[in-house]
Amino acid sequence: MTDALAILLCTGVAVLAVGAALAARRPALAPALAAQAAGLLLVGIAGGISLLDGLSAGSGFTSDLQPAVGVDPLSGFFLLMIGVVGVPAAVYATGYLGATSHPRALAVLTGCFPLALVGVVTARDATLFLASWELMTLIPAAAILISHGGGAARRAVFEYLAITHLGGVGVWVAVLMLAERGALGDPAGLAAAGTGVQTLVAVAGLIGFGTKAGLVPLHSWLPRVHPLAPSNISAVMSGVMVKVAIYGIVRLLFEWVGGPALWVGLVVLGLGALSALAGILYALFQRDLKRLLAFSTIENVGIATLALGAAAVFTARGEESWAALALAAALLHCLGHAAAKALLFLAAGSIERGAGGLDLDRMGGLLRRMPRTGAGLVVGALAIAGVPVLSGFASEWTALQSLLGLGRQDAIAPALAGGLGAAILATTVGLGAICFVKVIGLALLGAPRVPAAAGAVEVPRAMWAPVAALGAACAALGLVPGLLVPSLAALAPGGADLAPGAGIAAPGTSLPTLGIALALAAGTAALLVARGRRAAAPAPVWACGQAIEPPLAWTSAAFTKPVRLTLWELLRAESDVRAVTQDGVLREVRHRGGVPHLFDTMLYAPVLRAALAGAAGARRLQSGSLRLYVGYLVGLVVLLLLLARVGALG
Amino acid sequence: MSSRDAIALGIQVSGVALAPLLVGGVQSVKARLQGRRGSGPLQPYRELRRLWRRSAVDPLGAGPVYRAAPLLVGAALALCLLVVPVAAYGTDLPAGHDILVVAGLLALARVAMALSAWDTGGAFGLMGASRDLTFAVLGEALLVMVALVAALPADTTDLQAMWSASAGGAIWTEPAHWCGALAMGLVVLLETGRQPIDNPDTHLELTMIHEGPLLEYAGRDLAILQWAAAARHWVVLVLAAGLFLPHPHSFAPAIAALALGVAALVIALGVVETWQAKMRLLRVPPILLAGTAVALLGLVSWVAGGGL
Amino acid sequence: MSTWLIWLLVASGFGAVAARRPAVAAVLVTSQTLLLGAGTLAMAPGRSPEFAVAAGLLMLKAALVTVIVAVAISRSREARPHEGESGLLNRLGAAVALVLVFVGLVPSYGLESVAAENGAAALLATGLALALVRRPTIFAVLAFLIAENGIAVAAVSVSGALPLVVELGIAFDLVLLIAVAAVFQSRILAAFGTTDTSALRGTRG
Repeated sequence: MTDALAILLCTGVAVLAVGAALAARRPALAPALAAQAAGLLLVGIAGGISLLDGLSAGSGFTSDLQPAVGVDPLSGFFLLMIGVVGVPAAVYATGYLGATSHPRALAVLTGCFPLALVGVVTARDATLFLASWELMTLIPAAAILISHGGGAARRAVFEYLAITHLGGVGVWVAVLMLAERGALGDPAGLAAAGTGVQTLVAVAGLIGFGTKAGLVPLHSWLPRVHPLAPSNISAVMSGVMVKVAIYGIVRLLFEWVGGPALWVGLVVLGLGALSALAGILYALFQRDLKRLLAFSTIENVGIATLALGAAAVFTARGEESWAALALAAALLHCLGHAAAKALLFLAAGSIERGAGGLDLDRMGGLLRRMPRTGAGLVVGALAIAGVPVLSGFASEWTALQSLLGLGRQDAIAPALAGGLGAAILATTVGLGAICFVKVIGLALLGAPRVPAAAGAVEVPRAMWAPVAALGAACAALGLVPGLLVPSLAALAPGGADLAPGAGIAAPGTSLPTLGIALALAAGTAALLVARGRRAAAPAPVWACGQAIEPPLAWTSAAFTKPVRLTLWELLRAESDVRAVTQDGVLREVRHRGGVPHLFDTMLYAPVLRAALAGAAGARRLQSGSLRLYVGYLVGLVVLLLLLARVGALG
Repeated sequence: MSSRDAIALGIQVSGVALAPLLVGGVQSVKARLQGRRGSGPLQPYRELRRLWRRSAVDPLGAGPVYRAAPLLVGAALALCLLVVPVAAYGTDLPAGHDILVVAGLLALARVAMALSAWDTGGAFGLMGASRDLTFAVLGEALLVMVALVAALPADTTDLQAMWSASAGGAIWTEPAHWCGALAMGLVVLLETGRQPIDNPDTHLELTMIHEGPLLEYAGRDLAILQWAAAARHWVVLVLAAGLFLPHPHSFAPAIAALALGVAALVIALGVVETWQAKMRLLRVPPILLAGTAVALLGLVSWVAGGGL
Repeated sequence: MSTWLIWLLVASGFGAVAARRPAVAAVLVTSQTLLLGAGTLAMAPGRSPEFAVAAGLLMLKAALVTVIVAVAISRSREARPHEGESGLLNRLGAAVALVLVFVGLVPSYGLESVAAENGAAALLATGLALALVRRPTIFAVLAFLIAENGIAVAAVSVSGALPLVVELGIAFDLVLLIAVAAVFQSRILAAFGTTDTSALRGTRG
């Protein structure tokens, strides 16, 4: 069986690579992208088999610096995620890339990106892991630079590369230190090195993986870069790339470091809570749809990290079954969010094509004009908002269960962390509801606000079918999550024996998702029948007798105003109201407002200024004078001779 | 299914019919306190009958979301009635009895109403929906913290187990339970939409919070939505009486204690509504945050005290 | 290599640092190079044939260096010395200090005699000091030559005889010469648009 698994995986990767190569040569893109989709399908199936049957293939982790590849159930889960997101993205690209500026180059990158992701997830030694990690970072940058040529795109890519590489040093430090101590393949390896090394590896790894995952405060690259990439690539970026960073954190905390210390778990929990809250708060106030979705990715990564932190705390306290539940919650949330966010990005790309823009205040009524994409968008947005009974509700219920279980522990720090974490998670879910109700309402419902929206056209089938498929995936994950949760719980160290069913079981209680869905459907049907033939009289919408005009339409800023007013000081929101009078008569009232991205102004800008000041100071070393350089040389030689004399140099 | 399970299930199902009585009860108490005779506790049934006979409205430009929203809200609240147990007995079908499922279903109802407000595009509906959702942000946190405090003696979030664990007198020696009761009071006010948080009797559109989206409905749609508001009363009042009011262990006295507790809460709601004026909108989130902090304090006291 | 020869070499290096006019310094450095070549030739009998070849190459290099430096000096005569040049005592003091530091810090690394080791280190230090304290670019070239002489002293004084180092040094000189010439070629082209030397004759000013 493991041989079959290995063959399946290798075939899938080979077909994917062939697809990527074909895109460079053949004039028609459809066969190449179809090959990529087929390869990703095989990869996803292989991952699913590995996860559900608990199979491993290839080599385990090794500390030698020789390339080694292997699959185990955790890698299999992420391969499944790559398949779930990659196949619809590749099919979508068939219809989408034709209208971009460099379709062939982008099609090649569409194929290479999943290859790099598969590489990270199946790498079993330090060199292949780090090489794939770098490739995974660089390919989206290349895609953005190819599709946009302007200065703004270059600047965004520069910031992306700068932040991810500066933070990513942590990954290099952690992995190389592990390889040096021989701890990559050996579970007890790092424990022998002492707590100092363990702490260093844990902190460096958290910083490195956390930067790539988009955890606050190292998240600033995400909202800059995701809106710029082509829709199929940003779907994979938001859906899988940030989750691969979570994969790294899981490996780090639960395998490489050995059992994490309690304070590490609490730090991870705190980072997750902060990211979730900050992400959704900033998502709420965005007008650009893709930027909103990027901030929402930060929120959901925060939720997954929150559950991971709970799992780490449980592991530190020795509660293995609770740790398994928390880990299952985190991973289920990763998969559910991957499907839903990919759906949303693909639908956003369709809306951009159909309605001509991504400004939420300039859409409206698209559900009538683009029914299939619109229906998909509704499902995806409700799934992310955590509405029963879709994927978000199942994973958030499980995460809340683990946090409430943490709150019931008998030590004060975990209990407080669990209680606060649960409160913050609930707040995040509430804010997410506002955010995605706003998205659905502004984009799809009501009357069209601009002529472009009134004239919107449904996209071709290659572009709406993947959206529909992902919607079905979100619904499936919400209806029968119990098929996956036992396999996910088994991934935790110490494992857990949960019986597969339709719903999710937690200690003492359960979530019968299928029952809830059926009951809701039955109730709705019964009320529909009871309501009978709906004798309805047409009437204008009530606006105190006024005629409804376009200027009276509610905007994004209006819907989020209560939140903005409540959190005015926290957000440092800006509002500028100016009345324009002429000859004593009021002509116009102008209002400008906004919520600045505080992390940019308060954290990144001072650091950037300090770095530039330091660089300017250091530039004085490069005076151009030959004598000064000879002076440096003399000084260095004297210093080395002194050190040699003293015996400091070995 | 034992006889107790059947009786408990029967009471839960009868909540469909009994829920409007709670709303009528609160109205009667308010009327008495205000020196009026009032229309009696059966008035909501007369309202529902009147609305059922009328025709609905199709706002110009509204789509399928507007027509589907009342059905979804009604179904969600009806399912909540089946999830919230009246004793430590009942059935597992169809939706179990977990308190977080109740929270999720209430959120579903809220989201459906907000989407219907967007579909009609009416400004009053959107204003009310945005305020309702904003309150729900901290309201959900408050509800989850109450669930945690109530789950502490039971070690699970299953409502029937929580019901059993809060029975008897021993739990009332724990400060955590008092903190939880205080926070639950806030939840009751928030979910029923009663003063000082919201005014259910208002006719001024600018002051509407959860009534805003209801403006565009008429006829049977409005009847379903008004029944859903009554069902919300049932859900939170039964939860509050079952978890945070004293009740004995054995079955029949417990049912009697539940009825008494709900009646007491109805009278309390009427008194609070008469006594308090509506709070300024922006003051409500800090109050909810304070409630969450009180619940957290209860959690800390439980852990520090080592539990029961 | 005899001690008094090494002292002569070091003294000529100091003289180059002390000299005010570039011509004088150039004469001292070229005589240093010639002296080194002559000294190596004198050591050659009784050693391996490679050593004789290295000694011959050194003599040849000394001759070439004389010619090239003379040409360079005559072509780049500047009217006035640069302003702000450090005084004689400062220059000598800096050179002496640097030489003492180097001689004191350099550990013994297996040459024939302690005098040879110290001499090589002193010449190297003198070359670096010359590059540090004098501003006209011709002095950078002279400093490089002095330093190379120091390396040659070390090379010929090794007990096992490393004449290969001498040849490597000459090869390095050639590479540097060609590189600098190429750079000048491109700069002249960029500045004047042509490298036709007959056309450039008119730029002498």
